[in-house]
Amino acid sequence: MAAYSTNDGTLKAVLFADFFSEKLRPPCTDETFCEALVPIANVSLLQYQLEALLQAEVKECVIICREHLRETLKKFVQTLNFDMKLLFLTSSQWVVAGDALRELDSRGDLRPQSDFILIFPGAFFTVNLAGVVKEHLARRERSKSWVLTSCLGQRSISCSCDIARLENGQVIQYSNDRKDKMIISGIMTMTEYSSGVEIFSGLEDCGIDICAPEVLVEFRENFDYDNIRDFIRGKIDGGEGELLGNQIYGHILSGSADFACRITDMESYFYVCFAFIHRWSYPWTVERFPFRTTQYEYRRGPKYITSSCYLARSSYIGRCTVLGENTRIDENAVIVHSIIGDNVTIGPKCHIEDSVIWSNSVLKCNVTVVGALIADNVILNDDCVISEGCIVDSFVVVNAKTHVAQYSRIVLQRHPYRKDTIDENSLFGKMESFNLESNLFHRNETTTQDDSMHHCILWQEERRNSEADEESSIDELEETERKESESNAMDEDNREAAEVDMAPDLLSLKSSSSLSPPTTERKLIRQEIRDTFQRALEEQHPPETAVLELNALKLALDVTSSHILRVIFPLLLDKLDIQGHTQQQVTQQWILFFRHWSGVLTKFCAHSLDGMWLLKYWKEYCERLPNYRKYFSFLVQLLYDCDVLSEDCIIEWVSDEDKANAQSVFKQQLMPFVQWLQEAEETSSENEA
Amino acid sequence: MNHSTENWLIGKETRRALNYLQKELREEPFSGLRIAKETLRLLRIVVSSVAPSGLDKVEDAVRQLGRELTRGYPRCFIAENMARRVLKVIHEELQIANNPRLDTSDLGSPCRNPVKNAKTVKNIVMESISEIEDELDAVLPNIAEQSLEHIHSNEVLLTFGHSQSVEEFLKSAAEKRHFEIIIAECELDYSGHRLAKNLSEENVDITLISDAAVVALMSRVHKVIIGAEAIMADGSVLAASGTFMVAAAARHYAVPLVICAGLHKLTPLFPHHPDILYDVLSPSQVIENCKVWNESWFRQLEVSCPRLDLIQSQYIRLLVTNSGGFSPSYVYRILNEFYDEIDTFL
Repeated sequence: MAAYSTNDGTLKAVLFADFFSEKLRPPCTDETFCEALVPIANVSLLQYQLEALLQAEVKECVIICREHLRETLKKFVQTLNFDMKLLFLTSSQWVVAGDALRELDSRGDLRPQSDFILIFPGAFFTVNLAGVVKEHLARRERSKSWVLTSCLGQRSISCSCDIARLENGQVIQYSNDRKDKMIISGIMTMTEYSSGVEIFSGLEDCGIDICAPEVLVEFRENFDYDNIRDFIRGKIDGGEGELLGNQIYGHILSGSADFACRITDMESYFYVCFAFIHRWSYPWTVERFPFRTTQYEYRRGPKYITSSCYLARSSYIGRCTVLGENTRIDENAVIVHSIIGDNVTIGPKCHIEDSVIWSNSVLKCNVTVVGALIADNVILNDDCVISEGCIVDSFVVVNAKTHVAQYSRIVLQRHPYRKDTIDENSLFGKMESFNLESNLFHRNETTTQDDSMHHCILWQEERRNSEADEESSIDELEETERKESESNAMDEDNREAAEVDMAPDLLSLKSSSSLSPPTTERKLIRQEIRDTFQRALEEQHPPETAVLELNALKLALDVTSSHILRVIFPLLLDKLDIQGHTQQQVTQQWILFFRHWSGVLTKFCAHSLDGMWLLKYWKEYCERLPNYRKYFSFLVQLLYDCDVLSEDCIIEWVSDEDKANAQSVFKQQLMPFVQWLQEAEETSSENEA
Repeated sequence: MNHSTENWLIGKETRRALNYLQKELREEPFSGLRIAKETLRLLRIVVSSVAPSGLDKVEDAVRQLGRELTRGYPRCFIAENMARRVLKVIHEELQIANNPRLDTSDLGSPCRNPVKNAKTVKNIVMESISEIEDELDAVLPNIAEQSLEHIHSNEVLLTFGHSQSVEEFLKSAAEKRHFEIIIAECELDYSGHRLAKNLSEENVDITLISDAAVVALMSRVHKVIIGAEAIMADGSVLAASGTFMVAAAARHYAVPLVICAGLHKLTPLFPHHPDILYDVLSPSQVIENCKVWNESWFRQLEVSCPRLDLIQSQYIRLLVTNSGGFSPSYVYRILNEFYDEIDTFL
């Protein structure tokens, strides 16, 4: 029987069942409902994940989730009856995934002693990880320094990333920000790498890693790591790869059966659902998911229909449909490219296209649902129309003849399973209350019912402009900036649309609600950062101390480094003094000042977008205060010398500026410097050649 | 059937063996004989562990295992067939146990107990499993030794993809005779290349062609020999996708089509729902370019890539199996010999 046990040490897995984000909400506004349970073709995500782990011969799995999800998950897992030891690690205090990993490290009973598989929230994969783990262990055998193997899918959906890796598979650059150019540090010394460098772009970071236990220790030491990607970046950017000899292996999933991607928002959720139906995940398909008890029957199309399904004679079931158990399709109903859950009743003359309907919902007569998500236990009354991009949360009742506008989300204010009503302070900021007097969601009004359960509110539509939103919220030049950034966001959206090039129905579902804190809170945060830095400036703290303080603040307030930069840069500018001195004195003074504080700026100006912001802000500052104008180019050069701004950044800004306003004074002023930069670049590249 | 209730017969050890076998089922390259042997090994474990509780329990366990095995795996026929064969043995034993008169008529020995004790039951079933195992070992030699009856000197043969039995068949003929073989590469997994490599040491002329060239070359061919994934109850055959085209071309040119397959592939099922049998693969088999799949035009397409083709019995001239060659219409006789009718659906 020796052949049956491949390795003696039991393989462990750590699985995140909690998204630590609100991107999939709604429909998951219910406290006890967890994103890990979202159904993909009527089987919850967690079940697929555990099944895949089972096939990788994982014997023990630690499921990480926040406290309030524990009971739900436990109940769910019990129904599965897997041949795997399942442990739960819960806490209500975690904010990010990194916190959970730090706690895991401190728990002697749960902490993996040997290499383990780490599954990030939303990872959907049918890859057999056993092979990947075996390779990883073989590498570890050769050299202890291969601490991490990261799986990267070839088909990018939601978590696009670019990597550069050496021929031996070591990742030397990782970036998940498509706007950034990839800079391979030490490309000059590439001769050191005896072998070639492979660069992959548009890979899917599917959130599957095989980690050595050392990785957890690393997390304990670096309390600002939010997730495993920070770890990777920390390793690469910090150059620790050479120092400590820790290497990261990038495993590219290239086989035809290697399907892996990550669900992070509605768009990717729809994507995964339909990829699954289209059989991209073969050999895992709807009709033969190994532990599925329902028997789907495959029909050409592809259509997957359970035997307990009632189909009226005149109903039409189009391509790419899944019909769950005990589902009833009435006369003249048309269903195309949709997933219908268990126990759903679809009334006569309904039209359903490009939609996902979870279980136990009832659609009455002549309902039209196109490109929408209907959660469980929903009732859609006669003649209502749910348009593209809508999300209807569970237990909502939509009145007859209601026309729900595009991209609206409808949630219940008081959910039957939710402990209390939606926390108004935190949520009303994002929601306009809608029709609270009546129990039903209806725009054209009709009847009111007495069941006070069904207070619905319309979840305010939010645009996918997280970064831009953050930017605009903080800076001083609010109006102009906001406009700018919004147009940026639009551009971004368009660009992304072009890149992703989704079918229009799915594009519309770009839900992504980055939940930036409400304005008052933002103001407080800004004030806090400003005070801290002001104090540092006034009391002449050494820059290192200031960085530490700001870093601590960043963690405490849960803001990004860009936030901080946007507060401290204006403060630094305000400190600059040009009154009553000769030009020489001023420049001398500035050089000293910025040399001193450059460390702080470089620390928080990590992103190329930040650099752009910096330039723009400085330009606008000069526009407002004419006295500063002659110093414009000087400060830019100074910042370049201090390594705050990169040359790419400056060149890019100038070209942008050129497009916007060819006669710009500042551009002209900067031109000699830019030319010098470009020449320097050319000569250096010539030298290389 | 609820998953949780299935545990009662299958112990931990068995479950592990089952997992191993299920892994085996999806491993490449696929070998039907290996699956068959693994299944028997698994059945052996089950029978020996359940036997003390009686013959009908054993029957239940084997049945259950057969069902469990096939759940969710594309290449399930062989494992199912093995379970059916063991079930047939058990049924016979049960019948003898229930009607002792039938059994004792010849000798009338009084010592024969109506209810056999557990040990003899186990022995009998184990013995029959061993017999099936021996039979499996002999499958390839048995097929190979018939080769000289079918392959004559300087014939031109055509085959499609790689099949273990076809390879052995050709090799054994090549020892005595010289012939020319045209191999269609089988676009799905390019297994034809493997066959070409394996045959290259033999005394044969090999031509490797693309699948599309089969029809053009068919007029030159004397005989088409292909392997099969399963032999269905009506004499039709499931074989790699593309073989139906070969069969149609062969019929057009009146070239005989010979199927080489061991009888472990004989399935008592009828191909009523070819859609289900075809086993549609991932679109990545068709479109390898991974960038395309995200584009809107591509998402409107329905990409279909079946793994198998059904060749109806009228296309097939001869089935060469380990128990000799016979025509497709003879399949039902062998079915009755091998399987019990009630086991058709496990």
